[in-house]
Amino acid sequence: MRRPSSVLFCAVVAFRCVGAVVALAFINALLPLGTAQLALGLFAVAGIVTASLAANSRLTTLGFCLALGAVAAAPSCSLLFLNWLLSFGGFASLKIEGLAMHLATGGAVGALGALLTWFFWRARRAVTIEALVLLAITIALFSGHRDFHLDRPKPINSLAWRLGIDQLSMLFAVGGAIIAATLAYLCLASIAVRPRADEAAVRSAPARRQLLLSALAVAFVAILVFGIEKLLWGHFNVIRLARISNGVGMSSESGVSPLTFQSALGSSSQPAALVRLEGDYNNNPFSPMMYLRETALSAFNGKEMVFAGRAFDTDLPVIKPRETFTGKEDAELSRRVPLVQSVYLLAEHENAFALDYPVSIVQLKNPKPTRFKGAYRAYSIGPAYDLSEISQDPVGDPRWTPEVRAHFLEQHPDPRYKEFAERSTQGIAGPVQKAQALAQALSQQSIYTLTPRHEVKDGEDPVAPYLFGDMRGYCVHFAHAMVYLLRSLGIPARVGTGYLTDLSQAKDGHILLRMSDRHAWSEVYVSGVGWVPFDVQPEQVESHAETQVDAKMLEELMGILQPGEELLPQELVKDEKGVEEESTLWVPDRNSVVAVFAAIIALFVLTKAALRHGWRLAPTPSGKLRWAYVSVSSALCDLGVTRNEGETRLEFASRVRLVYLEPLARLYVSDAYSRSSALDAQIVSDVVATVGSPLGRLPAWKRCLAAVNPASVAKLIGGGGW
Amino acid sequence: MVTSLLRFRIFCATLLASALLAAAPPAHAQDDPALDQQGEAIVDPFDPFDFLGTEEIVSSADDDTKSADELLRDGVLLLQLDRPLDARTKLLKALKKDPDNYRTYNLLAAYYLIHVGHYRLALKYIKKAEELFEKSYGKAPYVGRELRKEHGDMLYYLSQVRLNLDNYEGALEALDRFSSLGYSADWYSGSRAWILMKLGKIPEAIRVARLGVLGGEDGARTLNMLGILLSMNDQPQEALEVFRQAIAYEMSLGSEGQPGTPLNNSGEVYKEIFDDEKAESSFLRATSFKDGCEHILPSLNLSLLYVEQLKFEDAAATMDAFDRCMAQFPLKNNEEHAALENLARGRVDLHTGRVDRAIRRFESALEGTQWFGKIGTNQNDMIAASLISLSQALTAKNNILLTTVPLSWSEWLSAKEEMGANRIRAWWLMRRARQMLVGELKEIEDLTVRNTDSLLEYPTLGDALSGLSGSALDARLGKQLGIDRRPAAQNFYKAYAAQAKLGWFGSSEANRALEQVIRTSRPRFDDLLKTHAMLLRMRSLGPSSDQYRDLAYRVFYTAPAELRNRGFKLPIAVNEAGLPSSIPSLLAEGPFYPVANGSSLCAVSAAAPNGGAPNEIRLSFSCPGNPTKSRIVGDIEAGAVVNKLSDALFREEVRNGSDS
Repeated sequence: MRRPSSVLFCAVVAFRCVGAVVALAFINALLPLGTAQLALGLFAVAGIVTASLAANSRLTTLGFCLALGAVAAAPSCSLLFLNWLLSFGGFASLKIEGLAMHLATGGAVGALGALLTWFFWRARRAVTIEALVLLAITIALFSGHRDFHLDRPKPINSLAWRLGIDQLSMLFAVGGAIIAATLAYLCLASIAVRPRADEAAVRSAPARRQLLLSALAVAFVAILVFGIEKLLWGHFNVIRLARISNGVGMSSESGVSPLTFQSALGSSSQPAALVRLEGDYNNNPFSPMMYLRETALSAFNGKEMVFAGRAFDTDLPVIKPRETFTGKEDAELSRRVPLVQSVYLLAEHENAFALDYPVSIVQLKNPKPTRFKGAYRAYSIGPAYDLSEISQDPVGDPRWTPEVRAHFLEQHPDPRYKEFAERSTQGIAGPVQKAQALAQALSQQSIYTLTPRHEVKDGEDPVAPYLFGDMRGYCVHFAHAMVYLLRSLGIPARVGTGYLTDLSQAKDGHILLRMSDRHAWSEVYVSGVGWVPFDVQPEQVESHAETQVDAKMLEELMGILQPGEELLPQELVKDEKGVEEESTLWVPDRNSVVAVFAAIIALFVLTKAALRHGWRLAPTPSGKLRWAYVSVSSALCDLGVTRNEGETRLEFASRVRLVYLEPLARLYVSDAYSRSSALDAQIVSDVVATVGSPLGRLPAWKRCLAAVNPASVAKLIGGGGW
Repeated sequence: MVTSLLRFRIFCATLLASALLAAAPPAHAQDDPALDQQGEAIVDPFDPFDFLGTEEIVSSADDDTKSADELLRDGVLLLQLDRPLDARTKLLKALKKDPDNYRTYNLLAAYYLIHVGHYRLALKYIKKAEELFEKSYGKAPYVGRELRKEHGDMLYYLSQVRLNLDNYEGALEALDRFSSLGYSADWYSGSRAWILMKLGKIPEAIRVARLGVLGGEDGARTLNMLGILLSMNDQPQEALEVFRQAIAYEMSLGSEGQPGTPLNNSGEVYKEIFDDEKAESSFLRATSFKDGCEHILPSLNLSLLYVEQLKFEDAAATMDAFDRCMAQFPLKNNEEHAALENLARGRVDLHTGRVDRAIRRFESALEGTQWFGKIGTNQNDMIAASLISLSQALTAKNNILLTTVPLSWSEWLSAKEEMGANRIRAWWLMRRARQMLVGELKEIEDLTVRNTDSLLEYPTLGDALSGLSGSALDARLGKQLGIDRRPAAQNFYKAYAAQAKLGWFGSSEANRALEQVIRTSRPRFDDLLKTHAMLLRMRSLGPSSDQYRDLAYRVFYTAPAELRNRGFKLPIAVNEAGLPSSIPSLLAEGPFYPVANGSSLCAVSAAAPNGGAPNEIRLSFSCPGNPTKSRIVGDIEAGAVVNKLSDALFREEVRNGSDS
């Protein structure tokens, strides 16, 4: 291979070293390596530099690999040998063993860096393979983000969290940055390990063909990126839709069901909202669980339960989270207590939700718009009854009209529901006891799974394959089945949807609701008490949802709701230990990121402008001529036409066959090599005038492509040689 | 070991309430509370049955018209009434009305320290309280009893918050300020001794605690502290005596007492001196008291003790009981104990063959956050224990996959892929664990078997140690044997040394040592160690040998899951009559070793149909003289039926926590 210029060599080595250090930082954050990051970085840099120097020598690949193996393994092996020797004197120590382990890790990191660097310089295809492998690893690392698993990978998540950026946007931004870095790497590599000019294929390739090939390559990458983006977006969009369709943020359109029977796709730990209880709730009959209702489905459309509208479900607020609601407290309801909750939305919701029987919902000031999508406070009349106390109570509301009563008792036409219900409640008297017995029976028999995979055709009952089939399903199946069974026994029932949360995971009354907390359950109207949940909790579990709340996230959100900087400034604890968790990854703030990107873009634009139009500012005819030549050459470079290795400028000009390049090149060469004769300013001016804007005569699309192509800038960084 | 968390909470709450009630305006600030001109109900503050005032205080209707002092007073009373969220809301309202009142900050600091356990926030509040206090009264020293007391309390909260944030030097600095200002309190010696212990200054801590006991400071708390310190100083008998005094003291307080803490501590000392029966009874008694039930350590200790005895059902039931106890405290989340609980439950799952669940639990334990300020261990112990456990679980998973009959090519391929990933991960995790043991944990400082602070599983610790170089491990074990003279501990060290030598030149010596361990291990109490030693011994034996058979069956009858977890096969007889011809070879592919002349072994034969699918293959497994091991399984696929039989035999049914 040819020897690169020293500038190019240093640029490549520096690029690789920085890349290796950044990659190590990521790896260490995701998978602690146990050895100090600085030491590992030094090992990697040493490996890269050594391999780069060795690759430009006469050393063969086999020789290099042997030497590398020996050098990488020598320190740790020597220490182990030393320990063995010391053991004869009874001085062997675990400290030496520990040091040997660190050296082994460092040696492995250095060897890997060296090996990759060696092949970078020696084998042209290695560049492509390395880029592909790095991309594959990156994709594998980021794949944890699928299904909104915000906890993995943590560095990306914490970066997004600190900057207050949506995690999905962050993922795409990082993906974009990686693509840009890979392109820059490939660009640099293509210049550094460019083939010799005497390689027949390259020499014979006309400029137009090269341009075509470049355009094809760009088009291929564009199609690839576009395809991947589309796939990814589609994937996330499906989840978003599934999330909506699973009952959260559902559309409150009459006659429509928001629920799906296919699979609980959105069962992820993505945070949905933070609920803060403003008072103690000691009489919760479902403790430690708590139901937060968003809406209810009480109409039966012949296939499933659907939303009926406020004409029937008068207790539901059915408002957007940014609206206010003032309801009327039902004086007939007893055994309930007032409870105030503040809700801070972390994801967009179509409807406001609250503990059942909200009397009013008022808007709160959003304490941090970059974090919360909205905030409101709900005043609810929460349940405080004892379930054993109401077991003898009648069901239904005596104030209901016959039409309303019939609505809540509308039955499923399949007679098997009635048979099942009667069989399960044989010998049980009261309706509430029957409801309890049914819930218990289904809890014992059902198997909880997120993917029941029942084959249900359009128009068929999606609950039957569960209840009369394999008994596998999730909350939607259980809630529907319960409602059909209850109604078949003459018990008014409906499906409630919203969140079911575990208060034992709350902290200081702050509950972090996640998408996996979404729930659907059955409710029965008990006289004088109101709608009471009768939920099926299967004893057999096939699928596992995330159960642990992210305690750190909860604490951080709680911190936002505390008095702000004016009362509790961070300064108070600046000298305290243990307050800030030590971050393994440096995370810049938002402004720095924007500033760095803006600076890079500005520098790029300025460099391009200088390359293209710098000749206009040159004070002397000689300078003007040189800069004019650079302008034309850089423009050609951006179009994919470059001077081959060993090709003279005049040969290049004649090969390219551009009418304005040849006189320019001739003048440039004569000026460069015959310093004795002064340039005639008039001649220079005439020649340069013919050049004008070198891209002016090209089609617009080519000019646009050339304008954004960083090839000329990369070539300038690599030492020019126009 | 554990300090009394509940005692601390009650102590703090009382301290705070008394200070603030004295400082806040009185609740009945009318001219004469006995008279009411409007004839409305009057609250008698001295009548314990008069709760009329409570609703009035809780009501938030007139909060806007109340002054900050009134809201503060409401908050204090609500805290006393155990209504922390109502109290918090009132206090935040008070703060909004008067952001310069140090008492509000002080109270909120105590609230977040005691009721919530949000130490970072508590620190901010207490620092602000101190800042405002200094603004109001200038720099210390202060004149006047009330001022001195208020400032002393602030310093106490500051030291406790810092302690909980693992800032031991900072906590000691707050106590230094406390004593330098001439303040005194009955908690001082106990707190100081605890912090000194965390800083590793044991002799100094013992001196401080002894002085506290002699000075009659906060009886049980300081006694507890002294007991812990003595046990750490290798004085177990003296420690037990001190704990006995502490237990007696706590019991004498009746329902107010908290004997769970000294009972747990004495249990730990008994465990260290290998008096397992007394340890078990101490832990059991500790968990039966309120303070012992709500803290994880007694349950964790008991559970781990049961695991060492192969009593997995009891170990799981202990953790279940702990969960039930914790359900009584809905305001607390499980952050404080999640990692430890996952570790304990994961070990039960691993030893009972529920390896997938064990892996999940160990992963959760590794990810869990734990504030270790209150207990005597540290995060590195926890991480090392979790890394080793997770690595063992991944290896077990591979062994299970290796002995699972693939039902399709895709299943075979995915199993191979999973095994490859597991192998790399298990190697890496074990390497990290060794690195931690040697580095962060100071040349395996926890090697002393049953070291209280450690969370390592001592019977199987050899898995991790065997990866260290022989010379260094020998030297370390030699040093350990020199300082640890407990007879029951010797077998553990022998097993570690033997495991490290297995497969090398010292195999025969190692096998002799293992046989000695198997022979001399204490029955019941060291069952896990004995099982582990038997499995190690089996490594050098072929499955056709009699000794292999004997050991395999001994393991199979006590801890069947271990056999498959470690990749060993169970010799069985196969009665081929009525069985498809593929079954014997599939059994050999699974965790079984079919032998021709195995009349005394457990046998697999065809079972009578039970009315299922017509082409169903049904296998019956029975053992002569052991009907509890009999199983019948069926499936239409031959491979699936073998897998079902493996699961039925090598996976124990232990109810271990909720998965939903």
